[in-house]
Amino acid sequence: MLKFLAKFGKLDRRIVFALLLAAILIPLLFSVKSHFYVDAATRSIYDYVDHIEPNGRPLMISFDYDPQVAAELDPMARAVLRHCFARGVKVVGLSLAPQGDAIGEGIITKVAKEYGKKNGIDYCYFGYRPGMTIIMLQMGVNVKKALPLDYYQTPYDSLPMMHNIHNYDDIALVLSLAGSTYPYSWIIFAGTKFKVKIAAGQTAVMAPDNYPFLQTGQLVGQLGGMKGGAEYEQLIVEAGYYHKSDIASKAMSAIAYSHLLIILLIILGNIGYFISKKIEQKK
Amino acid sequence: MSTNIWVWIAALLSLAIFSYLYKDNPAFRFAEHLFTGLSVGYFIVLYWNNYTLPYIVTPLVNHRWITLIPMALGMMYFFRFIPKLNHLILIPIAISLGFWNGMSIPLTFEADVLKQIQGTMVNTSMLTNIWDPQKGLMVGLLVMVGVISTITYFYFSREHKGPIKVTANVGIWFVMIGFGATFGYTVMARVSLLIARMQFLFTDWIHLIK
Repeated sequence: MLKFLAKFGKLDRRIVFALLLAAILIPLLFSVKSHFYVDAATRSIYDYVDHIEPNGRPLMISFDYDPQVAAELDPMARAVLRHCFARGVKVVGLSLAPQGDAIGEGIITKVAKEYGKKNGIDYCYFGYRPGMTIIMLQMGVNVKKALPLDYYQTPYDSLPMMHNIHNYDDIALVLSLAGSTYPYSWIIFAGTKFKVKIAAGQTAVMAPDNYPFLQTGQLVGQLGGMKGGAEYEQLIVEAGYYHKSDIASKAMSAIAYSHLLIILLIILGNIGYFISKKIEQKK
Repeated sequence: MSTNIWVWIAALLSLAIFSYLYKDNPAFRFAEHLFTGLSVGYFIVLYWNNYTLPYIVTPLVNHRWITLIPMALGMMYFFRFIPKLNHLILIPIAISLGFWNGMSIPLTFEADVLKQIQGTMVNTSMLTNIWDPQKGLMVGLLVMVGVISTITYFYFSREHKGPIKVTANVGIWFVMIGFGATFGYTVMARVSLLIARMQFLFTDWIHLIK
């Protein structure tokens, strides 16, 4: 028995990969459902968006991420956009990350189509704007100067939705979806300087860094990793803003089982390590 | 199975990358080099379209000669390659540092120091709901103890013995719990990426998951 347990200390990594693959594929293939609770940080973004006046001040979504983290952040973007469009909240989209340019356009046009929303009237997408903090600062003074043309090269003045938007005072909330420290820059250069409300959608790796800002109220809320996306999907389905659970909700059972496997392997790996150490000492 | 050629390309490249999990092989190398080449090409076009063209070429074509000043400052970075004029690189660096320090220091101090100190303080509003997991007194006290003990752990001007040692030891626990939470989140992040790829392969490519 001890020898068997000692083997877990030196388990071939390919066996770990195979087990992990099974833990992910089985729940996905058999559509295993798992229960998950909605985090307070997610609910506070949902509640905030739910109280934005329809056809009033828009929500600004900044697609500050690259394709390598799209798996975690795309579901959040889709869920928040569905919430906005279902309620008639206008949306201003942009990207401060070079590769977020096409990602944002793809998502915003697809979701807008689902709800029959029109570009320039119900939403605007400005694509990638270089300069990051310069753009954040410039929008506090003059949005038109920061975003002179939209993604399709339409001038700012030709977009009816943007006629009443001059600076952050005319924006209800800025939601930065990012796999790095973009939300932190939004907090500093837009939230602190211009007092606009900031929310973050972050990859799970980055999410813990934002808890100090949640605690102080510098962030309205945060969607953390795929779970954050799943939670928001669940909230909009429960409220009737969307008819079915989407990709992140379906992934939650695979996340749960893979986490259980990893916990088990960590425990067995440690037991194996200590046993093999003792066996070596006896020798 | 999908009939979309792009789905097939994406799926085969995904499998080529995954093949590295077994061992290094030519399929993985091909996918890796393709990705590098594509990224470089993408960024060259992106930077030309978003930086060079709108901020240098177009203004100069429209006779906005003031553009020459920031352009010249930017070009000074290339003096790095001319040993005799190497020192001139300090000019754009100094301007850039001066601007960013002036812009960032007051805001960062307010957001990162003042607000955070304020957030650490226990206040009377916490008494209204002592057990509130967000703004209750107990959480406030926990945050306060965590901050003080963790800062004590990183206080190196006095030897850690007596009350300082006890406080620092409590601080270690907070640091370890923080590392644990970060590690847990990291595991979720990596697993999420794998799940999304599996969803793509089994839903969009071979239509096994509905």
